[in-house]
Amino acid sequence: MRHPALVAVALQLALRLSTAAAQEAPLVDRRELVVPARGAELVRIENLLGRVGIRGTARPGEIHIVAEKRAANPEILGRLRVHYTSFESGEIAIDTRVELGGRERSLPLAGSGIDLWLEVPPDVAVEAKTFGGDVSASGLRAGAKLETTGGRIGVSDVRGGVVTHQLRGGQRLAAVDGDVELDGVEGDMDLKNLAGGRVDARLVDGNIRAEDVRADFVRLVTTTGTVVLLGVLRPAAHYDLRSYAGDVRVAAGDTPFELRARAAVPVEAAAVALRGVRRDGEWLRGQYQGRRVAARQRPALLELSSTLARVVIQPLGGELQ
Amino acid sequence: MTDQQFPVCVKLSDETLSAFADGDLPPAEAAKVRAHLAECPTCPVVAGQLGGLARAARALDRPEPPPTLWLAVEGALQKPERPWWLSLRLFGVGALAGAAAVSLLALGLTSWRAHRAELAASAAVAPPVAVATRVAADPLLDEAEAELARAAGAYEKSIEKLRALLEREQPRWSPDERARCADRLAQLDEAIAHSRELARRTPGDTMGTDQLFAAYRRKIDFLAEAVHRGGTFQQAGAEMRP
Repeated sequence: MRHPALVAVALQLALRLSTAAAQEAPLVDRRELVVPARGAELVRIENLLGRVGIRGTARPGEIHIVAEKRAANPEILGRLRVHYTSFESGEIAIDTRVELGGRERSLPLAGSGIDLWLEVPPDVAVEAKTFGGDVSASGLRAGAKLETTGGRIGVSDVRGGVVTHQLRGGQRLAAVDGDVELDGVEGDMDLKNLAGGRVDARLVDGNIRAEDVRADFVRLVTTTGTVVLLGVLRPAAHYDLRSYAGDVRVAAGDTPFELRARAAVPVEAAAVALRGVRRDGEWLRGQYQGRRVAARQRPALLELSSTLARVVIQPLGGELQ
Repeated sequence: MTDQQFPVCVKLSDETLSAFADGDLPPAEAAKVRAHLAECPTCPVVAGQLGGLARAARALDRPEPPPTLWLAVEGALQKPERPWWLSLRLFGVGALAGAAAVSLLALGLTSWRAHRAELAASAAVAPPVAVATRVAADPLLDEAEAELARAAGAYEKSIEKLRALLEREQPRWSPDERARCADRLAQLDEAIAHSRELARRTPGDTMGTDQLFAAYRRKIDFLAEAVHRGGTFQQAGAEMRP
């Protein structure tokens, strides 16, 4: 050994680093549970301690739960709890709590926490609430209601109504067949392949991008972000797209539509053959009749408004972002 | 506690609010009460007072169950014929804790109900500082409070942004529209201040912060609507947010 002192220092350093790493690595406790759910109609989950993921893949009459508790030390790990309660009404409630001052409480935690992963029968309705943790739902056939303060929301392959409430974090919905009502304060919304009677998305600070939305009524409203709608318009449907401070952009297919639009600057629609263009107060009105006369359908109503920015309409396949 | 100290609301009974403050309601019913508290001007006051009572009651000496109770319950649960999933500590302990909590609560409530009148007077004068201080020393409570404060900060940031946009819009409004807007904002600010005070008095209890966040949310909704709709916000309100 040519440099014993150097090796000793290196060993000491390595030992300290590994000790520090061991101290900082959270302890994880993973439990699995099968809850009998015969006759269950609603599963309500409240987990302010972490994430919730729900998949509609379980066999009828069963709910599979995987609970992952994490904490910096065994004492805290032992204070994290999961409870479930079955009600005669057909509701199953699953919630997480932390023992605090001799009492179990439902409180948000960031460093320690519990993540819940559930497989439920597809035909039960689901309601889930988190605080800072992401919440996701897929494969459900009776709708979902999701609420989070600071987590991301993800929904895919869901039949039935979807309702969301969020402070911040962003929302992604894909392949939903049912009424959709989305509510957010901060964060982008990304909507793809939605079908149903109604799509209603309201946001304060963020962008809304919707692609291939086939609903009879579509309302996309944001205060400070951009609204983008891409895809073929549904005949006779009503599209109400509004932003106060951001652009409103539409790239539509060949479906005829009636247009009402207003913006801070002249509406940009040169790439679309509008007819009967006229001003009605601050609104621009016109009609698009489609390129194929034989395929005429009842026109959609397209209402577009941007108070401080632009409204842009162009054919599908353009460079719209 | 005399009836005059509780404002009257015909939608919720004192018993329901009391059960809510104790955390005894099933989740669905608790959610309904929470929604009502977000809208009702009187019930949050009653709920706050009842919550104070409940905390004061919990601070009382509680009769201890006999030391053999845990062993007896645990032994019964560990019989071989019980379902395998009950052996999971995560849920088994939860059930045990729940059973013990119910026993203790029942015993505690008996003495609490007996002394409710005397307690009411002292609880109305001063919050149970001892309980709050003891719980506040817990690092997990600090962590939770920090999370809640972060969320409150995000709400306030959004409100500030919207207020700036509103100030840009308001010069175009009539004096009457501006006055109506100011009145409504004052009401919303009052609700926020009230909820903030409730949250401050009940550290570690999400009921207060739920109300505070609901109050923030109402203000954000109103501001966003006013920004979009201009001075016509009151007429347009029903259409924007049914």
